[in-house]
Amino acid sequence: MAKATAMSAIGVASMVVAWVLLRVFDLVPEASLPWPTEVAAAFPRLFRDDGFRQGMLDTLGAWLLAVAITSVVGVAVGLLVSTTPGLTRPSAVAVNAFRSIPATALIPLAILVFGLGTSMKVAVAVYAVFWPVLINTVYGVVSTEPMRLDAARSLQWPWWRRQVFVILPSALPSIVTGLRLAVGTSLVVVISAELLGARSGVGTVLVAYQQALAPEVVYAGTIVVGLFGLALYTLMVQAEARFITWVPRNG
Amino acid sequence: MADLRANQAEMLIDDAVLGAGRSRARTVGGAVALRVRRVVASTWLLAVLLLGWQLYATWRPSVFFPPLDEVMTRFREDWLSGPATRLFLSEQFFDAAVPSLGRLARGWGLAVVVGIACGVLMGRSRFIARAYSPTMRFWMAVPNAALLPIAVQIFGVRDSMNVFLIFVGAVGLIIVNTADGVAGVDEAWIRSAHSMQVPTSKLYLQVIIPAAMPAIMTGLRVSIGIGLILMIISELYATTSGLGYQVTLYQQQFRYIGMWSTFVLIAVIGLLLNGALGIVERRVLRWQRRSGLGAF
Repeated sequence: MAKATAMSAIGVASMVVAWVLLRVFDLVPEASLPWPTEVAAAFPRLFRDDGFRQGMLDTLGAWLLAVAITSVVGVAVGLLVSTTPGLTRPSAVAVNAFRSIPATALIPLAILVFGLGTSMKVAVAVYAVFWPVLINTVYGVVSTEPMRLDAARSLQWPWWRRQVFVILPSALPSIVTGLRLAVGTSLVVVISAELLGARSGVGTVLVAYQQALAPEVVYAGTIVVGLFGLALYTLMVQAEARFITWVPRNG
Repeated sequence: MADLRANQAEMLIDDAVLGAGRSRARTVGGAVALRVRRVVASTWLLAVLLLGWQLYATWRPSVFFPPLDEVMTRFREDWLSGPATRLFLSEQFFDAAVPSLGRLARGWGLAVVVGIACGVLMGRSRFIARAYSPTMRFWMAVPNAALLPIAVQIFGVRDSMNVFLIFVGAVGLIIVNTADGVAGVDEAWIRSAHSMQVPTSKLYLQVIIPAAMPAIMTGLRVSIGIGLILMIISELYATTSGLGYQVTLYQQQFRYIGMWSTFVLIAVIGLLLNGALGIVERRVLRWQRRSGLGAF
């Protein structure tokens, strides 16, 4: 454990050294890449800023709402579609058509329809992650071991019991993979919407700092957002390892 | 109108069902009918949804949500009105889509080269993997779009800004997937290659990379989707050309049908890129046995 920490410290340190070297030899203009020390000094300023804290809360709220909506609706529709014979393949075709429009392209439209509030961010984020969640649910259900289904049938289990005790457990790892993707992607999309003009959120704050020519604060803010993303991702992986114990995993 | 279409669709399915019966006779007609039946059976839902869009938009007219036929007419005027010598692509296509695709090609292409190289390094060296995988995990967790203000700060409003963002978004996924694939190569294969005294370059090019190819292809497929998203978002945020810029332009001119026709073009590009990558994948991985999912 201590060794792993030391190793990752070496990795991080080498990145910081590269950053310092870029500065020392002045390879990029100072206005675009400030000294690491300046960025470190910008953290307290960022945390004292009420706008940033409020923006962070707004962003996380919109993100949580989007993830909640998708995980309920996406998984439900996915289960329905994949357990109804004759509906699986047509829905896969339809989903592939719809998800080929990147959600970010729809932000200008969403702004027209929903305005600049939270509902716009949530709508775009849901559009972005609904399809992957749906597809992963369908994959999970479709790849249920047929032998197990046959066994359940020969035990004369009723329909609901097969769904709950055979199909759902074997589809769950794939469903959770979809949700894990959704956690990351929806955060990206929410922040994109904020950059393009939402009324509030961490993206709006970062744009304001950039326009105020305070790049060190922008860097600090991006690092904080990244740490939040990492925390959310780690939480998701931990929950997966904790609750889905019946599939062998490598590494 | 809708009833007529529904009737036609039903007749088509009936025909197809009859055709499937006949196809057992292995006639040419039977084979065609079987194919028609397959196509109808897999695309009817999409057709129904598009028809629903058309009906809803004509029933409840709204400037933001135009009917499908108007969007498609506009799509043809906007993008496909050029001369046959230019594949019918319009002037506007060359002004808007070509710069966008160029940025995507440069950013993603660079990411593929750098990503596979770094991924192989990480997969082969335990030292590098241990030292850099936390950094990589952090890098992947940074919502890429949050890097837009930084990208503009570094590069200004120029092509290199978009290329940088696409590169940054795509490269992490490719590195991680390649490293996973390379680290997962069967030790026995490498040992037998060593015992046959295969030179190092051959070991990498003919054993390790092909064995890691399924994972690499996964990285490529996911990363091109992300690249497309970042291409659009970076063009919406700040550029003076490209598809994202076109969307903003139409929005500012209140020409919403034009916005929709651009959405359709973006979707078509997305579908074509995915399809092309699918073909490459099938070609590259043809040695692999297809699982049940691959056929899906």
